Amino acid sequence: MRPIESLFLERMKHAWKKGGRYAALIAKGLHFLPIFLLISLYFGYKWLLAELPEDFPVSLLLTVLFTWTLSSTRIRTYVQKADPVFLFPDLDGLKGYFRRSLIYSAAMQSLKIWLVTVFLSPLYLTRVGEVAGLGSAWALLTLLKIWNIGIVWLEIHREDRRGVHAFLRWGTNGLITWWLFSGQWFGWPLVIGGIWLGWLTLHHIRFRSPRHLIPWETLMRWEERTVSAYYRLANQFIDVPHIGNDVTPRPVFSLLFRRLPSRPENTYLFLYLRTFFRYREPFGVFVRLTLVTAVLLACLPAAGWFSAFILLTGLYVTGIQLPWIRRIHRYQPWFRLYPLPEKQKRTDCSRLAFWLLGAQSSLALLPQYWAWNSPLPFLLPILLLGWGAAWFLSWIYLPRRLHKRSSLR
Amino acid sequence: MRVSLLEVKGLTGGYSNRQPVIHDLSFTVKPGEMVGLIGLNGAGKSTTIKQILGFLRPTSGEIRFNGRTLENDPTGFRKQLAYIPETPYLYPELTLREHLELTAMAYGIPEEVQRERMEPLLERFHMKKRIDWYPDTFSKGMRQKVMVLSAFLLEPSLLIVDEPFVGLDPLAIHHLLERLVKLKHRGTGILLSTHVLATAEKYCDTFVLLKEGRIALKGTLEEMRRQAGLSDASLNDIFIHAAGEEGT
Repeated sequence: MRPIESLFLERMKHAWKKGGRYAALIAKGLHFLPIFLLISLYFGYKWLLAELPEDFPVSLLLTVLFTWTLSSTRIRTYVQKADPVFLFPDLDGLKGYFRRSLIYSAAMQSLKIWLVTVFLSPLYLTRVGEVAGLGSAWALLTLLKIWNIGIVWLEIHREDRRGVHAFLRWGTNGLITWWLFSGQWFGWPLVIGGIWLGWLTLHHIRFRSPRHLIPWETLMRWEERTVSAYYRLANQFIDVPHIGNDVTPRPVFSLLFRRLPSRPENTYLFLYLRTFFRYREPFGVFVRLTLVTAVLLACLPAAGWFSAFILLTGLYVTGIQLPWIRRIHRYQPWFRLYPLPEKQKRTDCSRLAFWLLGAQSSLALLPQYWAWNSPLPFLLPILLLGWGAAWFLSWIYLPRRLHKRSSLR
Repeated sequence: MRVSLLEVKGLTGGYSNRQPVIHDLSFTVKPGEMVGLIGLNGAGKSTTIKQILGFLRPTSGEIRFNGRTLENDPTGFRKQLAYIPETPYLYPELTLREHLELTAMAYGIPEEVQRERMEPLLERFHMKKRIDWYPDTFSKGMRQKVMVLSAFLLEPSLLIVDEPFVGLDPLAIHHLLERLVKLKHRGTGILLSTHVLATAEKYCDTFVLLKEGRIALKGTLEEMRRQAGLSDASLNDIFIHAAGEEGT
């Protein structure tokens, strides 16, 4: 075996070992939480299947979920920053390296399809079809996933019109999945689908860039994103030293930034605001959790204690992401040089966290029709509860948690 | 005789207490004086700077800035001190404008003064067009310019400069030196660590030559010539004589 080809296996083993060590550390700290979550999930799912209205569009839900799972395809390459310099001379070796990367990614992504299929099988078997149909769907979805990996690999080799290519791929996945779950097994849709897939594949092969042009920048960015996602997940439970992240300008928030007066007391807040709104995460997590909390509050039974529990859980899960805004700067020398009181680093973080969590509770609660129309004036107390929790989390709980877990004060 | 702005007395320290990198260093920086800190790679220049800035804790010795120590008055100590690092440390999420605004905010520089100082600096260093750019679009030289601009915006009493010429184009180096001289004439004390000996000889008033973490020679060029026993020697000759031989 050529040395570069074996390098992929070495890196893969190293990554799994590292992942295993993190998983063991996390498991140690979780105690009975995973068992509790599994039991909750089991009973929640059972309840959902029993309570789901007859006319609920299950096929559409399955289409959306599988389109998402098929289209969001990542190729694990384990490339490192020094690779373009040190590996570049051996093009044949690199070909073998990336072949292994594609085979590995296909195996892992197929496993993902299997897991999602297993998870959704009770829903499918209750409302859509039989075991044989599910098996055939799983096989077809796995093939489609492998096709996605091949197309994504060709897509990243092309610099032009990436948005159009992604749109075509998502559309193709969506149409084929919809055909699959709407119960029409054979006939014209299958023929047309096959021709379309073939044409799209040939189109990408025809316009692919020469073999020696390796999109190192894209591959490294993807790799960094994947590793960052794992680290961020691990960071919820244990202290992780380095988490990479992308910066997006998001000019829409510029107006908000300008409202902050230029005073030494606002220095860290000036920075934290931009850190929060311009990094891909935890802003993305904040938006997603706000939406999920709002949807759960709207869909689940509007009982006082239950709604409060959903709101508080949403705030807590968002809150524990926020200290990252401060932690990311801990190795910045300027942070140690500014002529400002040490405690301001903490208080400015709490100020931002309070407004963010308060805003989250308002954004999740204000669109709730039931809260406005409840026979009791329910909106005001639950809103107050949300802001109270925001205050407790940002000024009491999170600073203590941060202090316990690291050297930051 | 001018009172010292920065006074380093018997400074010993490094990355671990058991293995100090610098040993018993004593020197001063006076207002309106540019002191060249020179030495081979690994001689202890950056470690000395890190000790002064408070990034490392000294094993023994004392560092006083305007009579204050970092332990007694950290805010007062840092208030009048600016630093240009060898490696540009930037916030990826801030534009050039925001880097300057953040620096000005931290040091309590009013907005009008900030604007007054910012415009000519941006013009001088050819960064005006890039004011709203993010660091990921900057070349190495441009990143270094952000460091230079942030430090000059403060017009500090003491400026610590660590290898500032790396990555800068000749015009930027010219403007940087021009600004350093201007600040020096206004009374700023400057500690300049560099390997560019010709520039150091031309611009610095006194020198501290480090060898293996100890002061090998110090003083004006004339004083160092006497200490080295090399009359009429250039700084380069003195450096090669004093620092060149291993283990001497």
